Amino acid sequence: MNHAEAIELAGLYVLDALDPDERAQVDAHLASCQETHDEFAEVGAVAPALASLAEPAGAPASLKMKVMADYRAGAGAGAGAGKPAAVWDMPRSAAPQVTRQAGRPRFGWVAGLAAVLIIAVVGGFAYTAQQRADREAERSNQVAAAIDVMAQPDATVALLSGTGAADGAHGFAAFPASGAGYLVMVGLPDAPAGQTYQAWYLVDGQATSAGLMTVDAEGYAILDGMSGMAGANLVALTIERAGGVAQPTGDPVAAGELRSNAAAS
Amino acid sequence: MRGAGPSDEALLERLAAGPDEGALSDLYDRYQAMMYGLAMRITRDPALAQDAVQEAFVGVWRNAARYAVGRSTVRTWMLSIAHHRAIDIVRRRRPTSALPEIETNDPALTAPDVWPEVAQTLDRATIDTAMAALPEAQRQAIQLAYFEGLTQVEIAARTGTPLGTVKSRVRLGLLQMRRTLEGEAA
Repeated sequence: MNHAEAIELAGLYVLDALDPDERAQVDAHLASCQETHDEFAEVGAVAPALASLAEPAGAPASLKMKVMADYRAGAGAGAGAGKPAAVWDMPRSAAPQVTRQAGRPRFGWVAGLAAVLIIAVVGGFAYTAQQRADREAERSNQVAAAIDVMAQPDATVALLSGTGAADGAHGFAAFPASGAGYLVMVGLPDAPAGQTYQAWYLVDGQATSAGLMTVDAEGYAILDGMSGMAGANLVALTIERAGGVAQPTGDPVAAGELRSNAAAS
Repeated sequence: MRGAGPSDEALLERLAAGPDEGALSDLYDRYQAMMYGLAMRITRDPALAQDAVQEAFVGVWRNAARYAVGRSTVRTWMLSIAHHRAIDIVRRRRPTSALPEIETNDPALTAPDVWPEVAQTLDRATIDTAMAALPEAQRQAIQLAYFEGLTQVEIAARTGTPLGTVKSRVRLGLLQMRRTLEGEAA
């Protein structure tokens, strides 16, 4: 491609209207040609104006949940996000050893992060369980059952981390291939007066309530007996008015992408 | 975009420096409506538009470190990514080639140029008027390319026009728009 041919394609280039091969030829020319290519910048500068012709439209609240979940799930993979979110950076020296996980089946993609999480949940709970009575024992059983589900090879699991009002909270949702699932959150602050935490399933961007969550004195919130939801790809928490709402009204304070242990292992 | 709180550039710097959900959340709040509106205009489908914006934000945080301050505004950069993703989604649904995996950081597109900053101050009606002032054939070619994601070959087939004519219509139309809008902004 010579210089004149490249210039002729400037308008189509800046509008993304070239086939990949054509675009590659222009790119190669721009990289190698010593002449000036001011016209590309001139016509390229019109593109932002064209974008302005589209009427702004508020995206559904659930989209932000998905965007933030993408970030949490992939923050270790891209440039500028070289490590998982800080909420997962539990100091190992502070985390009790959990021997009850020995001999459990491998549980795929969640192994690394889930191991930290299990230590946090069970370790933290074990500490409080030694000092408290029946309520904590019941909670211990729920957490242990939830972890059992999370460890099943065919389970579907989401790791959730908090942000905003729930910054520092973490947890997981786990659904077996059949039977009841769980959502366990740790480190949640109390919901503001007159409000509650509400859990959501997201299916193709549409939110369906998964139930309300009450935070106990130690910052635990557990939903059990969850039926799961076919096609759901995200679990999220929002803060809503007491009694719950039909659709989320605010940004998520925690969210996690649902992934199959079987598919990812 | 300016206003209360950190600048767009500062938020992008924070994303580039390390995981920072607050920075991404702020950028999302500032630009989701523009990005979603653009994606809706291109895809004409809420689910596809959401996919485009979701993919665009992956592009934003993965490429935050590649953003070059001074070459384009964060707004322009993010809208370019949203446009690219929306066009790609539209093309995937047609029997044509998908776009390559780029994040619109091409030097030619982001060459230092103060006019885009000026263009941001123009309102939609002014830009619409400049578009409407173009000859019908030029306006149609630009709209088919930018808002419908047609390639030059597809535009030629759709309009029954030789390829060379399509190239010149788009190029001359954009140059004319720029001249018109520069006059409005002066």
